[in-house]
Amino acid sequence: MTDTNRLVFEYKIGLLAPSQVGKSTLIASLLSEGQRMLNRETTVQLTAADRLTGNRIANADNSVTGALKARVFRPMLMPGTSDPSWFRLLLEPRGHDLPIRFDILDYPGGWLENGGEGPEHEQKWNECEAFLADSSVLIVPIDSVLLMEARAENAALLTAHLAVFQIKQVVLRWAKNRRERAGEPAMVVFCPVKCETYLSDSGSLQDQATDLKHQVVDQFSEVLETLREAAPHASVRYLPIDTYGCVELVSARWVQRPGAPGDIKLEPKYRVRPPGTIARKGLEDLISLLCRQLVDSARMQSEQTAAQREATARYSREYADLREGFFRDLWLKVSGERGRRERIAEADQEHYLEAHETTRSLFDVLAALGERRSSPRLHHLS
Amino acid sequence: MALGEQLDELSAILADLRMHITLDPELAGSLTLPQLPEIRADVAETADSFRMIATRFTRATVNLGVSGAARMGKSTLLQSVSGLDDQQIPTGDGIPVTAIRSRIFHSPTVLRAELEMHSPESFLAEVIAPLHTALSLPAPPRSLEQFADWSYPESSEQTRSRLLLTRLRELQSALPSYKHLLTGGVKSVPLEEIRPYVAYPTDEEIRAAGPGGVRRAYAAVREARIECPFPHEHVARIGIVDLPGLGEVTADAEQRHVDGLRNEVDAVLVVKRSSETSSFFDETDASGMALLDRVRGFVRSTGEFTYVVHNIDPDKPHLAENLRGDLLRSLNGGEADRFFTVFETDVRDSERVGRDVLTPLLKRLADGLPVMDAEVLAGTRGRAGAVRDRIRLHLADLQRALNLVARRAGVPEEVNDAKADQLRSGVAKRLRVLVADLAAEANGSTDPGYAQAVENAYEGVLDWIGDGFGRGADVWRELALTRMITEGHPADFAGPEFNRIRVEISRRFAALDDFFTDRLTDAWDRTAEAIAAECGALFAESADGEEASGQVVLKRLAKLFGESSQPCPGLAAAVHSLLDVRLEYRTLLYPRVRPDLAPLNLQVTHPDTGEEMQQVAVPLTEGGAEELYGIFNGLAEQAAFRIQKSLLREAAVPAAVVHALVEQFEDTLIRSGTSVQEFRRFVRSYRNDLWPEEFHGINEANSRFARVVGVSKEIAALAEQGEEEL
Amino acid sequence: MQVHLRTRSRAIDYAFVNSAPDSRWWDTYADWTATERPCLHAVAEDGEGHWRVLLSGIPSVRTDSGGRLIYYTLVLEGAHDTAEQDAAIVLSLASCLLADLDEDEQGRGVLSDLLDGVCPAPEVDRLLAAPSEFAMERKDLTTRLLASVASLEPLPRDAPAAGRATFDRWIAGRSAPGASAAFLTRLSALLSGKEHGQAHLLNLVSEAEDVAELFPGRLAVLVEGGMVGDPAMPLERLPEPKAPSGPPAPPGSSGAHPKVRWRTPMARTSLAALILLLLLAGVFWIFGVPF
Repeated sequence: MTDTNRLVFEYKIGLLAPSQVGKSTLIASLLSEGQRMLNRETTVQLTAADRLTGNRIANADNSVTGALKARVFRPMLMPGTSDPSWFRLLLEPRGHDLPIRFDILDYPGGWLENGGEGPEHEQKWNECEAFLADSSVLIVPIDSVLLMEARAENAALLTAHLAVFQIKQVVLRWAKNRRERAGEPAMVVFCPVKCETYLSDSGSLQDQATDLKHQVVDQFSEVLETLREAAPHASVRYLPIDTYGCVELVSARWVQRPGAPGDIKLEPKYRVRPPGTIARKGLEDLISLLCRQLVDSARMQSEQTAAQREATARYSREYADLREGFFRDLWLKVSGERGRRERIAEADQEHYLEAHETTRSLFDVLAALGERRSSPRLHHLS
Repeated sequence: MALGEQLDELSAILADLRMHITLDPELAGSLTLPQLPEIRADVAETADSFRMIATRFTRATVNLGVSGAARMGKSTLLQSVSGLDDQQIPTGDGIPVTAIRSRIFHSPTVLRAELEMHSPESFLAEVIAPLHTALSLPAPPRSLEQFADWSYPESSEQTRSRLLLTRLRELQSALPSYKHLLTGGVKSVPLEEIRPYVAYPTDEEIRAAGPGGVRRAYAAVREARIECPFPHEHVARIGIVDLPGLGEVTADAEQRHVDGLRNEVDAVLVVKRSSETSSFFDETDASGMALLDRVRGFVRSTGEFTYVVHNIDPDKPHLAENLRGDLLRSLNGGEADRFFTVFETDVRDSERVGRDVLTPLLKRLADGLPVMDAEVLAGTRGRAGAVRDRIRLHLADLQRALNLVARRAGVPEEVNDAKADQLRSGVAKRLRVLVADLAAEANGSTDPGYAQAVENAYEGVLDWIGDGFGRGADVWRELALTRMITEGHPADFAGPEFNRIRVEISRRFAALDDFFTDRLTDAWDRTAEAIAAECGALFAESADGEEASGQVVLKRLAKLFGESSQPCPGLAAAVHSLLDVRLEYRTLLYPRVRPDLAPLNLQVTHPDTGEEMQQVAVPLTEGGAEELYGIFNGLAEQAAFRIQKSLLREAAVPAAVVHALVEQFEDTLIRSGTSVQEFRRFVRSYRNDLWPEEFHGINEANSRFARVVGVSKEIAALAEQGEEEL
Repeated sequence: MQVHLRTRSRAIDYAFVNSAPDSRWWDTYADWTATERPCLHAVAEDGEGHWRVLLSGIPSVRTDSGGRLIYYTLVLEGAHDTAEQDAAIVLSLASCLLADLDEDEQGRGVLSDLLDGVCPAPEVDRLLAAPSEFAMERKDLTTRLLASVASLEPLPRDAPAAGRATFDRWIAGRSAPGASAAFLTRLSALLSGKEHGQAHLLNLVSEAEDVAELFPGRLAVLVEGGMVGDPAMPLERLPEPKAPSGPPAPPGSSGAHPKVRWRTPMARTSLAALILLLLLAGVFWIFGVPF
């Protein structure tokens, strides 16, 4: 039996990327490594909200890790996504009974590219889009290899390959939603993935971090513009995340493929940097970003609720203490009405205190999370 | 000699130039070589000196000349030294006997005589002509027939002339007897039969000959060379030259003989005998000594060169005493051997000759000869130097005159300058256009030829990698496995293999050199085209109708700039800089590409942490070899891909470099400080080649002018050369 | 019977190649399975005269431009009174899928080859690149597909264990003895219309607890067991779904203590009124007011 007065925190996290960027991989590594990382910490812990989600996470993680075995990268062992799926998670600050629920949606990137034009999935895409537009956090994974290996003559097509326009549409919708709820925190994180080839802190011998960032900002300038105009209070971050950490690009060729934007597609080839251990720089930052964001959202929500409840409690107290004349009072007393009002006022006060307590706890948790230093990879774009 | 010819030519063309030049006569007058004949003579003489020196230094023998008035005992001395007798070296009492000059050389094995015969021409020139001159007769006969028919006067008042005339007539009358001997060649005669060729006929012979005239074979002989063994062993390397009796023939003939002997004898023995008639060292002797000075040539010290042999007749010691005292006084100023060394001997006694004369003489010569040689050489050199300096001086004067002329020559400077400025601005404009085109190409889209070249190289590398790095994949793996197991570590195989692969990849991309060469050649062609278009007929197509390449044209241009009579060093330098460029993969692109090859190494340093990371740590099994192959493949492909990417990012590089190059060239050519002047100078020198029609009239004078300048340059060069050879 | 084939090309994301189903009915089961791995849904519900089957996660030899695996999804729909051969086709496909899983962990086998044969890469590229063209080719594809499947050799099916009562609701690992036979039997029944219910091969479940909320009716579940769960899990019965509870008890006062009944304001008021009345009556009696 649920206590209807208990605060419920439920959030959504959305990913915006076209096909083959690595949404599924990012989610899998985020959740599995997130669990492991947060288990080591004392502030919060991350668990699957139900067994099925737990199984799903395990399935996805095994798939990703299985593609890198014995220092050979075999993407052939990893399938792509053809149907949408939901991951239901629970973030629990330790020592408090304050579960924060959040959902992540995975879907075929092609649906974003098409803008839901395919009739068979139009309705489902609308559902997905609604979810994305309702997220507290939007993560935008970007294919670093595509960005850095596009030659000068393909620059014009790059925007189409990155699906910038489609991303902008969803972001616009999201921004409008966020503006209506300006009191809530909102965040967008641009995450270049597959970037271990270009960043020296991952073991690459070349450092093109500035180049990469410049390219991202350049290509997504329209999206950044939209954000600034439509949701100025949203915080925008830039955080490159390694996909494996030890898989780097050997070569990337543009090949003729009818159907792709401009009828060409980038086909990369990879190798494994010895010793072939998986170390995803940047992921921990994303996890803590998300945690902080969720806890902050919860805190704010709790604060608002507490404020409301405080008002209610005051009102009912006043009502309970109200003297309406001798006979009325007597009648009230006899009929037990006063007693009832009394009880209501007490209950309301309790609820307010509860909410207040929750807010304070969440604030503490937030403070504890905020102590963690972020790596130099994290930049602010807003 | 070449120098002489050149001088003549110079004189000729100067004359030519003088005629054609239209300027004041004063200036024209200065365009001469006033002392040309003297110089000419000097040059010839110097040449002769050198020739003679050559002979002197290549001579194998020490030549002694024997001289002295007639009847002094010369021939006897010769006989004593050489061991010959009257048959070969005629002596006689009373009358002069030796008719011709003979040389006698020691030879242990041979006994022979070679007679150099006159040719009719030489006979007439060397024997008859001087007699004519001395006798003040009109021009000598041109042929033997003429000589035979000449009517000579019967006699003359003067004693000397009478003597000469007699001689002449004797020669004329005896002509038939020796005419057939005037072959001009060399006649070998056995020593026993030599007397008629070298001696005047004796009285008996004259009487015996009768009215027909005695045979005078000696008239046809120019010189005799006798070889026979000398009696004195230690005189093996001596040659003796018999000098004809002084005062015997005309002074001219003497002089000629003497001249011919210059540098042929190393010492002269003057034989003097005291006789009833003369025991003194008189004027004839003195003039004879003076004559010997000419033979001496450059030897400084007379005393080293001329020795006196006092021929003593042991039977008449008092005569010897007189002469001795006289010699002491006149020659040596009272001090014995002060100026001249006097040997006393009896020329009839061969042994005494050897002891008293030859031995001490040769000893003196051993010391003195090298000194004399050096003096001769130095003297000749000094002579040559003097001649050369004179030439130089004259050339300098001439050059000054020429410069003056040039300045005032036919074409007014304003015209020249205008043309030069026009040329300069025309070239500037065309080059500007070219540079702008090149800039556009550099900034524009990638050069498809270059991109294709890079792509080809890249494909080639991938193919090579795919084929097991040129070995075949299986072979490679096997090799790797074997080596790994043997050495216990993959590094021994991997290290050199990394090197090999790096080198091969770099080499294959270096094939882009061809591309760069083409680019550069193209730039040269276009630049040359731009310039040639303004240079009128200067770079017109060559005779065989083929178009010269840009490089050739530019080289020629640089040459013209450099060799112009008025130098254009700045312009020449600009063209050389353009031509000296090297556009190669090696120098241009490899530095950018090196970082991409760096990972192909056993160990790589992490850029941030500085940590050394091992790239090859595989198990020593077949699986390990397989893995190693995979690692190598991945690294090599990655390197090739990155290189290809870097090179294409630099796709503008060849175009940019070429643009910068031509821009630099244009800048230096047109806008350097000296550009205006140098263009003017260039036009001045080559305007006839640039615009032949316009400057046609002036062409002629200018070409002569140029020839003058050219020839004078050549002369100067020859003079320098001669100096060097010394 | 309708057959819909979904896959992707190197450049273009997953989409139906020949024709698209009317509704995405399989989304309902999205929580229990990942369609990128081998799985099967078979649904034949009460009151509807048709069945629906989905097979997915059948690997192809083709890969996408990132080198990842490409797989096929087959969606089949038919009415209960269809021709025999349609049902046979579906059964054939299902048994092939299970057999392939036995052979290869990824499920690569006969079915993969068959579908690869029907869909060569260039054709897939072409058809996916132009979704509104090539109607003829798409029909051809369907025909070819049906023909190829029909030509599959029927695989021997183990007879279900005799005497063993088959449960209405059960779960088993796919390689558990008799499990696949029972599954195929159930499937056959569903297809023919003899039974209603659902049969699934699921790859995200490992225990009975996981499928508690899947479907209340007749249900047969095979655990695929590649990444999650044990494929050899023995067959066990699924518990009946809990009956929904009765209307909820009235809040607060309904179960109140009897004694408390007296304490209610109404009661008190009534009591007060009664006492007052008695008092009044007493007063009246004292004063002898005749009534």
